[in-house]
Amino acid sequence: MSLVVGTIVWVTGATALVGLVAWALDRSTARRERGE
Amino acid sequence: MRVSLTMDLAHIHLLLNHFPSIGFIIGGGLFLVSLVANSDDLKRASLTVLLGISLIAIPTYITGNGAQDAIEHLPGISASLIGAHEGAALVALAFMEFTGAFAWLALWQFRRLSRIPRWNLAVITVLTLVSLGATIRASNLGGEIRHSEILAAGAAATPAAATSDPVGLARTVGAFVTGTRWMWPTCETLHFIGLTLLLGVVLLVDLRVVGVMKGVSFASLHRLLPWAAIGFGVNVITGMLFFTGMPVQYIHNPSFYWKMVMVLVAGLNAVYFTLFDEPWALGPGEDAPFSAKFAAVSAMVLWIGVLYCGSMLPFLGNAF
Repeated sequence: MSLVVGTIVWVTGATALVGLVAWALDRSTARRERGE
Repeated sequence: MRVSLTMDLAHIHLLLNHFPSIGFIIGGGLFLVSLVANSDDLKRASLTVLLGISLIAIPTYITGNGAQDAIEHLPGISASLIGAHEGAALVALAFMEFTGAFAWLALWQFRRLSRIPRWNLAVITVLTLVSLGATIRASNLGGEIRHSEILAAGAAATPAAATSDPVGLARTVGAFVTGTRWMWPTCETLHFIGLTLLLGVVLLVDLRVVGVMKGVSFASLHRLLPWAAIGFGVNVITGMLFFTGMPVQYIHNPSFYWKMVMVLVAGLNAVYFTLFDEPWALGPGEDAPFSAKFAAVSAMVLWIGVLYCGSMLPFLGNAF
């Protein structure tokens, strides 16, 4: 994998994963706080 | 100067290397008792112990490389045993950091929900047991390096002086980090993304506590803390990948030592804002007590200090 493709793919993938985990955690905690 | 610094790291490693195994026995034991007794206070206490030990495990691993530097040229020291210990320590460190992450999440969930979801209690139980096993294995392998009396009979030991090839899982990971073109710049970019997540939330929370944005309740900003924790997690992972790739440029670097010290103190400081009643009770328009303001100012100083020392690695130390 070339330098440019490798960095773009892995940075984008890891950032998306981190954002998804944080967003899902925030949503699920908010639902529990509302007692749903 | 270099020799005395290395010897210091070896001493610190000897001081710290019992904490992870004994700490996880105590913290994990208390956690299991808290589940049986259904005690919320004991749960929080044991989770705080597990979180603290997971932070102490970071300098324990790092100083191990300094200890290696100090003894690898001595007669009778086995390169294969050092490599096996380092690899086992890296596995144990990974499991302990995940345990610490879920322990912190449980403390945060308890603050918001007044209880810890069962799925997280199950995850922490499994991770604690696996971490304990991995830590004890790493400790045993570490002991065999200098205590031949516990070495298995007939175990092969390649003298460190007889080989220049690095061995073990940690060196394999390190070689992948430095030998793959996209790996280091990817980790650098992710390290900065983690930093912005962490510092952004830390400044929001701490500035509110010292009196900026008084109309916002602390509980509203407390909801953002997992974003900071995830940013911190990204930086621990990428930071350890940097370290396994080029340990030598960090273990002789005073800027790196100060960075690690401030990371540990700031990590414990974060427990205050995660769990304690004082900041949590801060409603819209209310002024925080002096102790909360002191914790907030110290957190900002510490995290900016971490940022400064990280940036100064090539200038105050010998990195890069």
